[in-house]
Amino acid sequence: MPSVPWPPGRSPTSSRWPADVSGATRLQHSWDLVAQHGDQVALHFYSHLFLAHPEVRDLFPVGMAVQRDRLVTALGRIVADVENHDQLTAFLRQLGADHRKFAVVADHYGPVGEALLATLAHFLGDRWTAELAREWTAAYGLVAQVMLAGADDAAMHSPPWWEALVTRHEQVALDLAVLTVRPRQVLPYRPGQSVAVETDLRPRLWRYYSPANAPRTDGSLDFHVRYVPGGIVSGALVHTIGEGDLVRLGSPVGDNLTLDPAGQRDLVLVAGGTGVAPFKALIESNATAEQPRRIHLFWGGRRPEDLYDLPALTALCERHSWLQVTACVSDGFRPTDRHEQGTAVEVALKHGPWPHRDHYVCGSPEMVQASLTHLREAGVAPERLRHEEF
Amino acid sequence: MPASNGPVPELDGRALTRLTPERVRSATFPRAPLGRRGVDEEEIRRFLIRVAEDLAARDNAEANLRAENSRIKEHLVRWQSEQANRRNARLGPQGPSIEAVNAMSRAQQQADAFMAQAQDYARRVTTHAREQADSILRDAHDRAERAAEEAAQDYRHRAGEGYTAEVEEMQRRVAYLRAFGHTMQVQLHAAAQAFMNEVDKIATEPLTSQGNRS
Repeated sequence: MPSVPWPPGRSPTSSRWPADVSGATRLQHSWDLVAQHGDQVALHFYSHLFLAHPEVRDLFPVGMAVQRDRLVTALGRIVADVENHDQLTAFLRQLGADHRKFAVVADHYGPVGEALLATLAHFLGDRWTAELAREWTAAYGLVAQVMLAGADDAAMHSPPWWEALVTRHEQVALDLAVLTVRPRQVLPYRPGQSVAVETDLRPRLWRYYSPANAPRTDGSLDFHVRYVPGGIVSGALVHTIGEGDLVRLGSPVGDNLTLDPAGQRDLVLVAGGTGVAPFKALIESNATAEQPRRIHLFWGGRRPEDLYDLPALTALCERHSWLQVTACVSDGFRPTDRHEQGTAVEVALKHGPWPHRDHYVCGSPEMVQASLTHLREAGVAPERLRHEEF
Repeated sequence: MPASNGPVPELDGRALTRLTPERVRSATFPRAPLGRRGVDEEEIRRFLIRVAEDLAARDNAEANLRAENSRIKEHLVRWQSEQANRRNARLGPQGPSIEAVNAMSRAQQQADAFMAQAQDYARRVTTHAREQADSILRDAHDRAERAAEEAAQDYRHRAGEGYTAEVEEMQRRVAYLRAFGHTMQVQLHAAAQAFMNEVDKIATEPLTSQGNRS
């Protein structure tokens, strides 16, 4: 374990969670007082941090509004869970591992601790006592220690991020692009997972996308990116980035949309728009399974043109007898021999119900919520329903 | 904006109508434009942006008060320590001064507000363009459907003995495609003409922007 330069001049091993309940309560109480100042707390914290250590500013995006909310949320969670050791440790280890892709290293923890204490002191005024300062110092020391331990463990089996070359950028619709990127080092992932993507065009902003293919021998990944109106990163990925550019990728996350290799159940996949990406990866990997499951994919868009990848999916259908794909168009167009009328979930329920199949849902947050509600109302048991939450 | 009422409070000498808790609680929004359900989302957005601006301004004002408070306290402490014949070491704040911290915070708040504004503008322009494209397509589709139906009826009248369902469907599809293509052609001509007009404007307009540079 690397030594945490915190607190100055003291060994980090002397840090421990507050020994008694009243210590924990004091931390929580003082945090509650500070948190009442809302956005000002994080504003003060970051301004203090950047003025005292200007080199740290570069680790953050230009816009800080989202970042501030995240900081306050994370601190609130840590303080609330301070007596819940196991849960807190798991959370902090994951947080530390996640921070590797932000280029955070052990040296950054000291400056952050200083800024945190200065912020607490500032907002607590006379209520900031030497005893409270000791308790916060010890608590932060332990937070830093556990986060760094999480980062170190992750470093044993993966790099902090993967650099990848954009080898294909195909604008498949006005606001939609399919990118193929090839990481310099193999990025192991399971179909259905997501990876965070960052481009130098929009530094320090990471967005999750799900590879649309099962792992290939050349290690390349496909991403389906739709331009979100006003979206900073999606705009750059759809309209600006080109072949030969570099992107950075984070560690794969999420297990809700992956296939359990031991599982036997047939699948109903309900996708909206680019939500089809992880399902394409699932279908590809199912093809290499010893006993492929039966899969019925319902892919919905507002208009026929929204179903940009239909030819590829139809081709997969022709190759695999276990696969069925139904294209669904919701926006008033007449059903044709290629599309059925309705949203993906509406059409799926018309074909079903299949109480014994696993139902996977992926799409915009609104689409996912609406689909889950429909499926539950149709009697699909909660344990048969899967979706990603982030 | 929702209807405003009550006097206009002044903050920092700027006569901006500040939102009050009551005004937020009792905000009402106009109905959505015809053809949509619920209330007008754009109005709600605009209101929310305004609420965010006011929150930021209030945070700012509070930060200034805290800075002043901290200055006064510091003076007091200094005065007390001087009074005590310098018995205590002067208590100064560690690290950057509160003024520097607040200046930095204000700059960041401004940057965040600019970005939010630009993003919101991009979002509205894109959404508007999409809606317009949708309505053009829908219009072309509706016309084409009508043309297809007419063509089918016409065929049924004419066909007599030789009627087949296949030919009717064929007539229908041909008429649909012809009408759809025609509508799109008209739309594209109009768009191309508008574009040419803009190009001509650029070519003929004198360079007037130089006077604006400082």
